[in-house]
Amino acid sequence: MKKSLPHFIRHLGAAALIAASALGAQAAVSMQLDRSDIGSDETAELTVNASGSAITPPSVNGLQFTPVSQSSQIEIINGSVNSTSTVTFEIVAQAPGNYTIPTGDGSKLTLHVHAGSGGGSAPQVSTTPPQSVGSPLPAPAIQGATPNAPHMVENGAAFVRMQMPSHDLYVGETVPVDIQVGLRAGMAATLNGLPALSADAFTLNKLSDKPEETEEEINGQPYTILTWHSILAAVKPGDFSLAVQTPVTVQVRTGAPRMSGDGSDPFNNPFFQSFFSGVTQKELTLSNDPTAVKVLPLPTTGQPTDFTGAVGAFTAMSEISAPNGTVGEPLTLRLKVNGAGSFDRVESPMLGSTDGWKTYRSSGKLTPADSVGYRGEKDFEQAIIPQRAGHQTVPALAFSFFNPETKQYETLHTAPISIEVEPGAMASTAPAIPSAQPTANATPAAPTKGMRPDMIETGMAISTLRPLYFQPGFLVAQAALALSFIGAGIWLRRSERAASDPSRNQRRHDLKAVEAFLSQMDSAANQRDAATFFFSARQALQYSLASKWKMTPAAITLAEIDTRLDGNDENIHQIFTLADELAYSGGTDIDTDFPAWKQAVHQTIKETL
Amino acid sequence: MKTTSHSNLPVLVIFGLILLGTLIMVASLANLHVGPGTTGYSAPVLFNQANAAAQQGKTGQAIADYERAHLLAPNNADIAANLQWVREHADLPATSSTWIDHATSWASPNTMAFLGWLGLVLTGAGILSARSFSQFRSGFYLAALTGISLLLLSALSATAMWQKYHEAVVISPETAARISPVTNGETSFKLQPGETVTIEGRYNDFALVQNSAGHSGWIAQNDITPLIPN
Repeated sequence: MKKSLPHFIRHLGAAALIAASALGAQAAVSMQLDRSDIGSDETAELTVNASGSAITPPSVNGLQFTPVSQSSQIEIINGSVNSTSTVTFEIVAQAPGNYTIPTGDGSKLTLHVHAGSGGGSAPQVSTTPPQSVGSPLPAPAIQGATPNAPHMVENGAAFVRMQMPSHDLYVGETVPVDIQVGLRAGMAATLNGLPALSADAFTLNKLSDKPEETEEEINGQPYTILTWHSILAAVKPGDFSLAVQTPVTVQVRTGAPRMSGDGSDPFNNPFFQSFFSGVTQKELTLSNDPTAVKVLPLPTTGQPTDFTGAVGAFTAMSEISAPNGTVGEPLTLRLKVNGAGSFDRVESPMLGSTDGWKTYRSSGKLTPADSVGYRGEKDFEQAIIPQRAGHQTVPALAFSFFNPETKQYETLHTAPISIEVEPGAMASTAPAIPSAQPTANATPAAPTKGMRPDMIETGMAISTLRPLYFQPGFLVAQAALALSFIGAGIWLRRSERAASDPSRNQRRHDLKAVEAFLSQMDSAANQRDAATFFFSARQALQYSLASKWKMTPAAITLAEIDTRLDGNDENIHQIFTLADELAYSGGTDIDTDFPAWKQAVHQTIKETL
Repeated sequence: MKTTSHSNLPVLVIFGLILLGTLIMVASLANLHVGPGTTGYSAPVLFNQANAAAQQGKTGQAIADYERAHLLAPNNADIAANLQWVREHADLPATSSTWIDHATSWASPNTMAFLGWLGLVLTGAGILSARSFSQFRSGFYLAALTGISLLLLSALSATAMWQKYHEAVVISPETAARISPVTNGETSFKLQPGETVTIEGRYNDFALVQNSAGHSGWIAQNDITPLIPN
């Protein structure tokens, strides 16, 4: 078998890739053989798939494994990155015979090689890429994240586009959209995140971590197209410019490619060129051309009272689980809302408080008819219990929505349902004994023998089942109460300490006396009552000095003052003297400068304290 | 000699705090109770709903509602009997309980919370009073000790409830627990309706749950209903 040099180099490169992947951690490995029976002059292909691990060619005597291709896929699930690599080996047998290839997990693959040519009956795995799908491609618009975008972007190596059926929407309306990211074949590129919208007036349903993958030829170049099917919802009115952006990392050559052009030079092979060209990684943000989208507000006139925000086109019907019932036995009332639109806004309270029927809370469940949940059926179920025997009617149910096609609100009414109700054990009024028997018409036929019957009293209801001690408000209030007790304890303790300290009590008492005498002095100054003025001044000075010198006020005499102040007591000396003179003479009306004396007394006491 | 106002100060402070605590509790209860009727949650209504679900063959929903009713009225024999009845007929494994569950299951969680509040008030007022009024010191310390016991009981109840707070009941038949939170993820094991699981995490429309056997897997959140809805 003749092999060219480029072919050999490709094998060498693939082997290098395999060796590089061998640095990864060991994980799950699966193998697939494209056929189980080959001729001795034929080859088989073994595909090895490994998740984040090394891939090494199996070792089987008589078989030669040559790597011919490799691909990798990166999945981002719940924030964790999972790398899956696939390597295809070409198998050449050295002689006819039966060969067993170990797969690493205990199982084995068997390859039968017979003389001559002609394959066996094992199914051949198609290697033909899928046909291109989708509508004609709009011109890709690519924007680099950096000012100097690499040349491969300018050459159209990657693009993103979005297809949506309508550009005039109503608030709350949803439309199915297809978002596609195209990567030119042969380019090493990694998506760094899922496509996102550029405008905050729209929401996009969660995009799958595994987009649909197809091949498409654009301008003669093969592209790998990743397609996400989703639902776009308009959330606020206005005129918007809508685009899709996708972060990618691409590997680009920085050196000039060699172009001999005659085809005979093995070094003109692109793979070989890449060895001699510098390769660097560039992070880019792909974006398509913004599309003008007009979002209209829902009309306020004519809005039904039971409108819950559903926008689309729907039909509704109701049914009951059995044509006949028994008093006290539950039946299931169903409302089926079918159509296309914003199913997350499709709600129904079902049957409210109705005479003759005991009703319970309803529940709804969507069964999507497409992959994105734009079309489908939402089924509401409600347990209802007839309370009276005879011919009864389940009232009609109503469901309202806004139809963007007719631009009007529409209200659907289901047909009332007639039902014959037989008298029964009346479980809701039966005594609480374990012998309540189900009737033959209970639906569905769930065994109920031995069950205690319904309770008569509804009891006190509470707004939430979450216990008080798990409610933040209650916890904060309890913490505040505990802190109040602790704070009160500290405060009372300090008060007790202060009350039991005699020196602090005495000082507090002296200060109060000083304040009282100063007030009395000021009042006497206003009345120009000299005797009271100087008496009060002397008292205030005595108390302040007594507090300072830890003495009793009566012990503060002129002699004591002279001794302690060593002559620096002229004002105090005069005040004490004048006070004594006025007290002994009984005079009150002397001509003195009250403001000056007031200031002197206040200043002296301030310095003393 | 102490003045009258000074000797009355601790009394005023303690009674003020008790009044504050009472107002807090009254406000909490007023916020919790919505009164009689079928709105909100009441043990009889939940019990009746569970009966209806059981008779319709909705084992998971029935068990969830019985469990909720049991939380509100743990001593109600009818609720316990029907819960056990449905569990047995669904071939569900017996539920295990710890000594903490036994010690705290005689009253509802809200009653336990109330006792915790009472314990806090008794502890605080008892300690403050014992310091301020020495002639009744032993009596006040006894009250404080009782309060501490009630606080511990309430804390134990909260500990036991914390587990239930993260539990859910499987309501869909043949629920597949997958190894990854994607619809086509590989199935790890299956859960039957009524089985109680512990929610360990959430991702989009999926919840990571652990069953009583200790196996963990991702299931659709629509397939379970939390025991204590938010």
